[in-house]
Amino acid sequence: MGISRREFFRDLGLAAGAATLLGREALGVDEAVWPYAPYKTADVIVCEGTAYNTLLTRAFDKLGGLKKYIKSGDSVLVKPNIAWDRAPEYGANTNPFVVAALVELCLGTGAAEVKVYDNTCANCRRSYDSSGIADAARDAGAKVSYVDTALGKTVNIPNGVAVKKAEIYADVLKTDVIVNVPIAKDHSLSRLTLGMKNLMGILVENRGRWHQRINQKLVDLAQVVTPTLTVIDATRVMTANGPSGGGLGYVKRLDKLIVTTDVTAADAYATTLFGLEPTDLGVVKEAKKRDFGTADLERMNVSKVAA
Amino acid sequence: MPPGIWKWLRRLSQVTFFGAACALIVATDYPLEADLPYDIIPRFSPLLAVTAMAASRAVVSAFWPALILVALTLLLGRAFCGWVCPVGALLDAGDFVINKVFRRRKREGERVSHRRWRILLLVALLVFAAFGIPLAGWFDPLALFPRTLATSIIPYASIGLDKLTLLLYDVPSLEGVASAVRQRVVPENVTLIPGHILVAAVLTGLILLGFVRRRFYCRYICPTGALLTVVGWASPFGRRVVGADCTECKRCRNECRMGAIGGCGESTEQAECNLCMDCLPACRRGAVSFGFGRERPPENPTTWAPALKRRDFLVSAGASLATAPAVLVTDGRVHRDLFLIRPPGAQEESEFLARCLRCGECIRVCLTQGLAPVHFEAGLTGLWTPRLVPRKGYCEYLCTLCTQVCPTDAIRPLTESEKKIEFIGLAIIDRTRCLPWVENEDCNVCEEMCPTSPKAIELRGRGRLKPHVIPDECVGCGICEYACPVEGDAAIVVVGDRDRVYFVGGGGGGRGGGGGYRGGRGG
Repeated sequence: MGISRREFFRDLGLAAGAATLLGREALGVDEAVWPYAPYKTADVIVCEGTAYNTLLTRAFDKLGGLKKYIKSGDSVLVKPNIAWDRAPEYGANTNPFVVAALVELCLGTGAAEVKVYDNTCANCRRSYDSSGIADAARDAGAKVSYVDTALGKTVNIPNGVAVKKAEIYADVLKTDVIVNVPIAKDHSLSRLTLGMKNLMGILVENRGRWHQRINQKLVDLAQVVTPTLTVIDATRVMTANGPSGGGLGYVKRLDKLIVTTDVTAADAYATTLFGLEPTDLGVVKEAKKRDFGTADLERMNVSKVAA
Repeated sequence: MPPGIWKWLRRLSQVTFFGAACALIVATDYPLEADLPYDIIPRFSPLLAVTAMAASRAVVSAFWPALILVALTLLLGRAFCGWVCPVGALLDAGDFVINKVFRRRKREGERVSHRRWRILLLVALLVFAAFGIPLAGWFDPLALFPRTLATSIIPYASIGLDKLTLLLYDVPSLEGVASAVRQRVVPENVTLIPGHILVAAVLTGLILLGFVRRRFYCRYICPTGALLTVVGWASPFGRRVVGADCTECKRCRNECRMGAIGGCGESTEQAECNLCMDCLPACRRGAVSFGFGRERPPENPTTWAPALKRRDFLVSAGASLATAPAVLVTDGRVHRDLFLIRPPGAQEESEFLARCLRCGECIRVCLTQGLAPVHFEAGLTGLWTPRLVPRKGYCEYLCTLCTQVCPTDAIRPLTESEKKIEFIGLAIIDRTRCLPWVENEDCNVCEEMCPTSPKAIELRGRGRLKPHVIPDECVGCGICEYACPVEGDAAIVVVGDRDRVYFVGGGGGGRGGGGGYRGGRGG
C-alpha cells in the first residue's frame, strides 16, 4: 500500500528533473488521435416520460444493450452541460436526474469508473452546485471533478476544415467511453446548442476563439472526439435567451430524451422539437456536407419508448 | 512556576492567534457555509472602529469586538500587541530570524523621542477621519494582515501549489495526490491580483525594518498600538522590579524587544511594554515580576513622555487640519477613474470611502479573483479600496459573497434577487476592435455569456450579426469583457460610472446600440 518516503522523493526528483530538462510537452502523449471512428447507425430512440432510469434502460436495450458499448473495467465519462450558474428548473444545464440515471446505468455495466465533468462558462464551483449535477452524480456513484484547465493535451485534427488542432482536457484521453448528455437549448450563433456543441466542454483552450466559423469547428472536433452515445436531455428545453437563459418563461417542458449512438442524428432529430428542420442548424448542415453521421430524418430508424 | 513558562505561554498564544487568523482568512471562500465570523479580524480594532465611525458619522455596531480589546487593554495594558496581534507575531518571527542569522546583538541604542511618531500618526489619522477620510486601514495591523494575505500571500501560495502539483502530475504514483490538491485548492483561476506588489512590499518592508530595531513597526509606526498605549495608560497590571534584588546587570533591558526597560533594568515604560515576559527568565535574581498594582517609576524624563508634548500634538493636529481639506479634493468623490468599478452593493462613493477599512476581505472571497485593490484610480485616499477588474475576473451574476464579508457594510449585504438588479457598471463595445464589427467574423461570446434575462447584449444586423449593448439591461458584471476573445484589451469594456456614458445612434429609449464616453473629470 502506498509508497515509501524514499520512493516519493525519488519520484519527485525524477519529475522535477524530467520536467526541467524536457518541458511538460515531452512527457506525455502530446499529439494523439481519438481512437473511435464515427458511428454510422441511425437508430434514434425517443423516450417520453419522467422515469429516466427505466426509459434509458429500455432505450439502450433497443440499441443492443449498454454492455455493447461499455465493457467491464472501462473508464466512462458522462459529459453533461454544466455551463451555467443556474438552478435545474431554468433549463440551462442538463437535468441532474438524467445525469444520475446515466451514471447508475453505466456503473451497472461493470465500468471501472464513471466520471462527470464539464468545463463551465460561469464559475465552476457555483455551476456545479447550482445545477444540482455535482450532488446528484456523486450520490449516484460518479467521480465528480472540475476540469483542470492547466492539464490540456493537443489533439490533431488531420481532416479539420476550420481547426487542425484542439487542446482538450488530458483526462478525456484516458477515457474509454464518452456518454454525451447535452441539454437542448436556444443559442444565438449556432441556433441551437445540442450534442456537438456540448463537446466544447472538454476543450481547455480559449473557447472564445472557437466562435468564429463555429459549425465547421464543431464538426472538426466531433470527428476526432466522437461520443459513443449521445443522450439529448429535452426534459426541459430552453426556447429563447440562450444559452444561459435565466427566466422560467423561456423554458418549455417536453419530458423527452433522445438516445442514439450518432451525434449528428441526435442533433438533427432534436431540431424537430423546436419546430425546425435539421438543415436549419448550421452544424447539421456541415456534418451532412461531410457525410459525418446521419443528418436526414428519412434515413433514421426512429422508435419510441415511454415510461 | 518557573519564570520561563510565561514566555512559552505567550509564544503559544501568538502561534494560536496567528494560525487562527490565517485559517479564518483562508476559509473566507465560497460557499461560506461554515457560518464562521469571517469578517471579525478588523472588527477587533478600536482604531478602525473610531475612524470608520467618525468618517461615516454613524455608529457601526459591527465593531463590538473592539470593546473587548479596549476592556482587555484597560485591565492589562498592551497585552494584545505581545500576545495576540498577528502582525506582532510575524514581526517577532522575523526578528528572531534576523537575530539568529545575522547574529545581531540584541542591545539597541534608541532615541526614545522617536516613539512619538506613532502617536503623531494616530492624531493625524483621527483628524483625517473627522474630515470623512479614514486612512487607519493603511496602517492598522488588523486591516493590513487580512489585506496582505488576501491580495498577495494566498495568491502566491496558490500559484506555488499550482506549479508544484503540475510537477507531481507527471509522476504516476503522485498523480492522485496532485489531483486531489488541485481540485481542492486551485480549481479555477490561479492568478495574481493586480496591485499585489505594493501590498506585499509594505509587509515585507515592515519585516525588514527588524534590521533597524526589533518590533520597529510596533514601536514607531503602529497607530493602533498608539491608541492602545493611551487606553492602557492607567492599567493596573504591569512589570515590577524589586529594587533590592536588582543588580543592575541590564540583562532584562537588552532582552526587551520593545525597548520598554529603562535605566539599568529597574524602570519600566508601561506604555511600551507589550507583556512579552522575556524579562522574567532573563533576570537571574528573580527580581522581576508581573502583576496588578504595578509600580510607577517616579520621575522619568526620557520615557515616552515626549510623545505627549503639547507642541508635537499641535503640530500633528494642525498639519492634518491644514492638509485634510486639500486631500479631500483629490479623492474619489471628485476624481474618479471612469473604469473604476466598485463591488456590487457598494455604498455611494463618499460613504463607501468613509466606511471601507481596506481590509481586503472582499478581495479574498471574490469567486473569480476579479476584485483587486486600487492604487490611485479612486483618488489619493482611495488606496487599497476594492475595484472589479473584469478582464481578470468578472462579477458572477448570482454571487453575493463579497457583500457578506464586509465588516462595515461599505458593501451592503445583498440577497440574490437584489444582486440581479445591482448595476455596477455598463458595457461598451469598441466597434474598432470587435470581430463582427471590423473583421466581418462571427462572434457571439459576449452575448452568449451575458447572464441577464433578457440579455443585455443583442445580436442584430443584416447579414453578419453584430453585438449591441442594451444599457437598461446591463448590470456591468463584466463577464463579456472577461470572455471577449480579442487578444489583449477586450473589444467590450465595462465602465464603472454609468452617469458619464452617453449614447449615440440606434434610437432612444435606452435601447441605443453603441455608445461612447465623456472623458475628463466630474460627472
